Amino acid sequence: MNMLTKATPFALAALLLAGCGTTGEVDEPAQPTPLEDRSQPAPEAEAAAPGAQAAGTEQGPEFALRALDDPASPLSRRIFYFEFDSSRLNDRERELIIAHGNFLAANPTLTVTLEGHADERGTREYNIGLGERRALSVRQLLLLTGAQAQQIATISYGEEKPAVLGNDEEAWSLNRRVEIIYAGR
Amino acid sequence: MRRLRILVAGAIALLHTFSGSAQAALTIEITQGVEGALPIAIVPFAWEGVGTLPEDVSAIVAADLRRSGRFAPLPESDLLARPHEGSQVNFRDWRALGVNNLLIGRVRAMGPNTFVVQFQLFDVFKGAQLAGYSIPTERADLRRTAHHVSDLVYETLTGQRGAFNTRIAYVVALGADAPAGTRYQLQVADADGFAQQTILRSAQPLMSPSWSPDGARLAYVSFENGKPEIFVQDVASGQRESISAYPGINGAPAWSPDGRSLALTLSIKGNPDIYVLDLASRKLRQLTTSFAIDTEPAWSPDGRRIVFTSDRGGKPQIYQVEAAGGRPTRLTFEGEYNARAEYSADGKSICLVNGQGGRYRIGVLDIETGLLRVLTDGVLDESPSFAPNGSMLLYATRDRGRGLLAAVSVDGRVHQRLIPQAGDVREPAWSPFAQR
Amino acid sequence: MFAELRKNPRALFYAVLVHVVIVGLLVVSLQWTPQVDAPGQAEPIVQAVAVDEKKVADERKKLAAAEARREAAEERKREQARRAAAEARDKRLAEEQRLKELQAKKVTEERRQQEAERKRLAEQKAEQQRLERLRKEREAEEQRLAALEAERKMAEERRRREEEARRQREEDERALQQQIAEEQQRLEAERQRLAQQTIGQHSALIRQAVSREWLRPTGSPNDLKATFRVRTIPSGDVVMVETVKTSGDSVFDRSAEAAIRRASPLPVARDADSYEAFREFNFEFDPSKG
Repeated sequence: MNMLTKATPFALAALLLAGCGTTGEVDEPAQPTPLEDRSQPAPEAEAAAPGAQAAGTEQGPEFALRALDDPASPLSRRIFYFEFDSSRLNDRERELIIAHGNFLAANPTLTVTLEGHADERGTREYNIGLGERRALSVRQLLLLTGAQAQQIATISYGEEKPAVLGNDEEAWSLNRRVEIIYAGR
Repeated sequence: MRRLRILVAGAIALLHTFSGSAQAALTIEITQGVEGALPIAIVPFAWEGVGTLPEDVSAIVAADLRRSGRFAPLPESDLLARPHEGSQVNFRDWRALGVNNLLIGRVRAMGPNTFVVQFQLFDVFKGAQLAGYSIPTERADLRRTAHHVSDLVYETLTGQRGAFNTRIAYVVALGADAPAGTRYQLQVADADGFAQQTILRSAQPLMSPSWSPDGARLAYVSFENGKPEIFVQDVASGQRESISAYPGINGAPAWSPDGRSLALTLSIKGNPDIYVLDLASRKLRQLTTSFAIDTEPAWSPDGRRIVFTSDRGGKPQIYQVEAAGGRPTRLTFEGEYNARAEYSADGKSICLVNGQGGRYRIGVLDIETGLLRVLTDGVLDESPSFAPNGSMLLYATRDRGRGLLAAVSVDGRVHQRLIPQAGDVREPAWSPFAQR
Repeated sequence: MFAELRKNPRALFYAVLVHVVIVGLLVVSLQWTPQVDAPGQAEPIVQAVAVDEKKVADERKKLAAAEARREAAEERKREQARRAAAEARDKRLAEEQRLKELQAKKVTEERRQQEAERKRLAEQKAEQQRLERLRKEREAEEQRLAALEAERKMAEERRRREEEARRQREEDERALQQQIAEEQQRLEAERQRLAQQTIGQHSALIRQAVSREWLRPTGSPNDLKATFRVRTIPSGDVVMVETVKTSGDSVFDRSAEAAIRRASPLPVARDADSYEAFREFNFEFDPSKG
């Protein structure tokens, strides 16, 4: 939560940039990341999103992915949070997602997996449905922002993979989420 | 004159006696009783062998009967005598203790690994034997034999088939806070939680185990391939096969009572709907078509109806639909959250998770009257599963952030936690009756 | 007729007499009937017819023959007359003889008749004497009977009076009995009422005791119903429980029976009168009424 609060000004800045750069110039990383990073492809990501391999042949994606590590960039915030039993996105989440949508639109070779999650309350299979619904609502916004359908995969883990252990509202609020996972990271 | 008077009086008395018996003897109506556990004395079985008794058969029986909620075994310290055969039983003593029934027996070693379990069940007030058995068994099967004894006692005294000699399946998550990450296990155990056996391990989530009607196979959801997939696994051999790996959700498998199909949840059309998968042909039939989340199907015992969870009305509630298809009707109206229903053995009620005021508890809903009885008092109770005889419910509850299994009698009177074990235990499923 | 005859013996006598006379006349008339002789052979009537010479000759011859025949006939006639005279004489003599005999017979008859008359008169007298005797006897008998009848009537009257008295006595007795019975019934009813009250109170206590001990089988349907007969001893201890009507559900039945036995000794009434109701009575387990 704290992290998110701190990130808000950056997110707003990113949104402004995104709004001006209609041609998708935002892929310029604000801070270059060490090159070593790109030599570590995640084996899981390959399995989960085989489409990423085709994109990986170009130099672009690895370069673009560096933007995700910039703490000042809204792209460094890759978890979107939800209210209980809801897939509605609040304004702050929408801003973050739009940033990612613009980023994906500007980098059509990038692929993502949206992981939907729920808190532990309610039944497990219903939460699978809820997680999927959350992932799909994020996907919908990404598509509206310009990302291509083939760039986005979704999966729901329901309450099976909590981000935080705990049985209070703080833990639950952190677990009701969609994570956007970029292939190649 | 005096004699006459005596005669007259005698005649009157006779008349009264006569009319008394003619107008039916006094009848006292008993219309109310106590809904209570039946007091029973279980004398520790005699051990006739070398060394120590490998399994405390009578203790297992006592625990089984107590867990059912329908029996109140007398504490061992209250036993006045410890007879092992009928001739040693003094019924008056046991009557004085207020027990209705008395169970005595012995375990006799026949060889290093073979035994005979003998027992006799008495009606203390009648002074009559109600049942007596002699069951040959082996060391590895002693626990099962003890559960079998429980079943025989239970059936004799309640008229209902016992469900002690059955099994449960559940999922355990281990090392949630360990650096190596969470590991998942699918386990099978005796109905009392003992004799655990892991039948599948995975680094990815395992979910929703469901017993085939013959009790030989389990269907479950596994994320082992990075996406949800439904497998069917033979419990004894461990052989398994993936039977549903469609894009999106593959969840909530539920066997039809004839074992030929699985109802399941798929989201191939963009949102979760209930489908029926024919296991032989692998053909899919879509059963529900709402834009809401439809999931957690369960078949009625006669296979003609299916209940499922749907939030088509805004919040998750239970709906019922003809298994052949049709318009679903809503069954639950009490509470803002009702999900994961399962039919009782007679098909007249469903157990479910009822959420009210932020608490999730196990309830039983009478389908005809719509009356909901909440049986548990947890905060996050889930996954209720009826015993095959409908007498008890198994469910998962939370204690200090950890999931564990608990049982409640359907009347809600007896609550019991199954033996604690490592990890976060969840999603228990009670097997059908053992094939007999 | 005989009754009439007995009543009038003179008539009999006359009847007999008349009959005797008639019979006598008949006999006499029979003997007196004259013998009517059958008419003798009539002589053929000769027809004289004129004839010729030859015929005259013949005629002469015939005349001669006829003369001869006439002579003979005359001779025969004379003979016949002689014979007839002889016969008549004989006949007269026979008749005289017969009349003589008849005269004798008539005398005998008259004598006999006189004798019979005498005898009859004697008999008649005897009969009259007999009848007189009979009459006297009858009168005596009638007197005796009348006496008997009077006696009988007196006895009857006496009996009637006795009967009447007895009936009255019985009537009184009955009235008394009735009174006794009514009093007894009133006392009995009062006793019963009190007993009933006690029985009611103890029934309630027993109901309570058994209900408290009845561990109803969980989930057993509400429409089961079973009836048991119990026998107790005055301490309230149940000595027998017998199923009168099973519910059809052995578990239900067993739970009910156990409840009765668990509740033993039952709080039965202690006084002998009320206890009787609890010596043997029924329990009906019917949760549908609860």
